[in-house]
Order: sequence, then structure tokens, then C-alpha cells
Amino acid sequence: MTPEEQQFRAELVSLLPRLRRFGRAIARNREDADDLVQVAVERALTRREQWEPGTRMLSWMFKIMNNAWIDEMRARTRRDQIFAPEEAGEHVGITPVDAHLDALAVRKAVARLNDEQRIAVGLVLVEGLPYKEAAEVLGVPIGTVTSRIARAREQLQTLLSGAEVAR
Amino acid sequence: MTYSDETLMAYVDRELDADASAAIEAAVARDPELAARVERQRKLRGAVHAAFEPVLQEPMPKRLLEAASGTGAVFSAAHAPRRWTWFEWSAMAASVVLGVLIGGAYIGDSRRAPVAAPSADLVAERGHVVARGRLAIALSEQLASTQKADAPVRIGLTFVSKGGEYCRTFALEKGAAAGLACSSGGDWHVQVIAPADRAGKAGEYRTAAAQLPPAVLREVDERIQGNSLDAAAERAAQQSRWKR
Repeated sequence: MTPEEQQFRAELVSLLPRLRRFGRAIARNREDADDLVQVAVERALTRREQWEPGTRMLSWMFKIMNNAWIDEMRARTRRDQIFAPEEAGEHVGITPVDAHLDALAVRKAVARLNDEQRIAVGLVLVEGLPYKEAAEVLGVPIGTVTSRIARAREQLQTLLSGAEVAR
Repeated sequence: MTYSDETLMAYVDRELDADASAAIEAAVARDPELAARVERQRKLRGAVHAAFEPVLQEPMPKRLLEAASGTGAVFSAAHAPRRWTWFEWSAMAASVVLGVLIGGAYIGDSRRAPVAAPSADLVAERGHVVARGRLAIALSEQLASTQKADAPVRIGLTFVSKGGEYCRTFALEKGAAAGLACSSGGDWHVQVIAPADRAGKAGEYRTAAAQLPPAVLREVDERIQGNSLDAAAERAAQQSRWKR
């Protein structure tokens, strides 16, 4: 392993927890999320020369994950296995006990968003990226990110209505 | 002036410039209804972030660590005839992580790109993980009583193990990772290394044992014979080059 590859891999390892978290936000369940991270890691290693040292590897990895997710969604559609979130049909607007908004209800609500909104939420609200960086990851204008985030938030507020967050 | 929800979201996301933010803050101070709208956005952001935060603490699946670090491939290529033990494998994975920690990466900070540095502080040799480089130097030379507060490797407890060796706990890079090493034939064999307890504040040193991750503490408890050495005994052990 060359020192460059070693360093590249070391940085990848350090990013894994963040990649898994983002994956969980967009893939809806752990197994799919980890598969997505693994596919992205493998792609990153084969395209190592495309990464410019000095730029943020995290954004680059999010971009690869986003593209891998889109590919996966297309493949699933082609296989005619239209992906139904496991939560489909469940009542998400759970009223949490007390004033405490529980994490499960939030994750289920996020899972109900459409792909575009969910990915924007993953980048901005879960991963804390600035709009500009999220726009670069997605390859869309910053205004598109702003409006996806705005619509996603409105929907989350509705889905979580009855919960403390919506009051 | 009325503010759209979109503007308030941007404010909560810290996307507005200083003037616009100041204007909203001033308006919020005067207008309880606006304050409630801002609070609602802030709460949603906090709730969504918090809902996924625990993922960071989950154990890392081996397949991902392997895919990213390439450890499996390296071992099988370089040492094909031999099967590496799980311990050696995990130690190598740990050393990759450690290289990152020593390089100053901090996973928890979303706005800062991690900086990685290849590390030669740990090597796998004949079934042991051996300290090298500045970790080895610190273990051999550094005294807990005289070490600098900002030393890259900090020594914690020193004690004699049930097997009669000197063992020392250490913390790396402001306590981001900690471990236990025992002296053996002039080398330091690293017995365990683990990321530090996140509850401890970075850069803050309390008592030597207080900041050790549970995995390291367990190892200390299993090995220690009697009490840990005091400053005088530690110095004497160091002067005897850790031989008993």
C-alpha cells in the first residue's frame, strides 16, 4: 500500500461513522444503509485519483453515496421491485409520551419524505452541511436545496403534529 | 416586518448573514409570536439531528472497516500462508484509526475536514501489537509525574501485572484514544486500545484512571497486582529500564 493510499484509507475509516449516519437518514434501514456505505467506499477506492486532496473528502463521499442511492433506486425499479418503506402504512403521527419527542417517531417521519427531500434533510439537518455545500453534493442550485429543505420541514411538522415539536 | 418560514429556517440553519440574523434576533425579542415560530424551527432541527446522532456511537460493522482500511487484503497478500488472528486484524484496524486520531482528526465536528496522518506508532509482530515511534518512546521515557500537559502521548497508571511485567496506560491526542501496554523483552506490547469515552472533555485531564475507556479499565483490573506505582516507584522502574 502506498503512503498516499494508506492516508486515503485512513481518512475513509475516520469518516465511516458520518457516512453510516447519512446512510441511515437516506436508506431508511440499517442493512440498506450499510450496503450503501460499502458500495460508496468501494467506488471511492476505485476512483481515488478523482478526489482532489485538500478538498473535503466528506462531501465527496456524500456525493458518491447520493449517486449510488439513485442508481440503486433505478435498479430496484427496473427489477420491478418497487421499494416500499417498511413503515409504509404505519401511522407515523404518533403522539409521544410527555413533551418528549422520541427519536423513533422522527426517524419514521424522515423515512416518509420523498427521496429528494430526505437526502436534503440528511445533508443539512442530520449532517449539518451548509446549504452551499449540500448544493454542491447534489449538483443543484442552492435555491433548490433551500426549497427542498423548506418543504421537507413543513411535511415533518405535519407528520409529527401532536408532538411537542409541532406546538 | 414579517418573515417567511423559509427565512426563519435559513436563520436557524445559520445561513443568513450577520445583519439579517441580527434583525431577526431584534424582532424575536419584541415579538413572542415570531419567537415561537423560530423556536419551532429550531426544535425540529434539533430533533432531526438528535434522532440520528446515536448512529455515530454504534459499533462499526467489520465489513465496512475492512472495505475502507483494506486490512483484510493487505494481510492476505503479504502473509498468504498464515491466517491472522482476529486480534492482529483488529489491532491493525485500530492502528489505521489511530493514525487518524494522531493526525488530529475529530469525527464529531461537522465543519472541519479531518486531517489524516499515516501512523507508525503500532506494528503487528509475531502475534503481538508492538508500540513503536513516539508511543514507544513515551512508554519508556515519560513519567506521569513530570510529563508536559500537552504531550502527544500521556502516561496514566503504571503498575506491575500478575505476570510480573510493568504495564502502563496511555492516552493519545488529548485523550481521543487510550490503551494499555506491558513491557516485554525490551518492547511494549499493546494489550488494548480504544477510543476514549466521549463524555470526557477533550484536552481535560482528570485522575489517571478516570478518563480510561471501559475496555482499558477492564484490562487493567484483570492484570493489576496490588496497587499502581507511586511517583518514586515509577521513576525507579523507569531507571531499571522496565526490567524486574
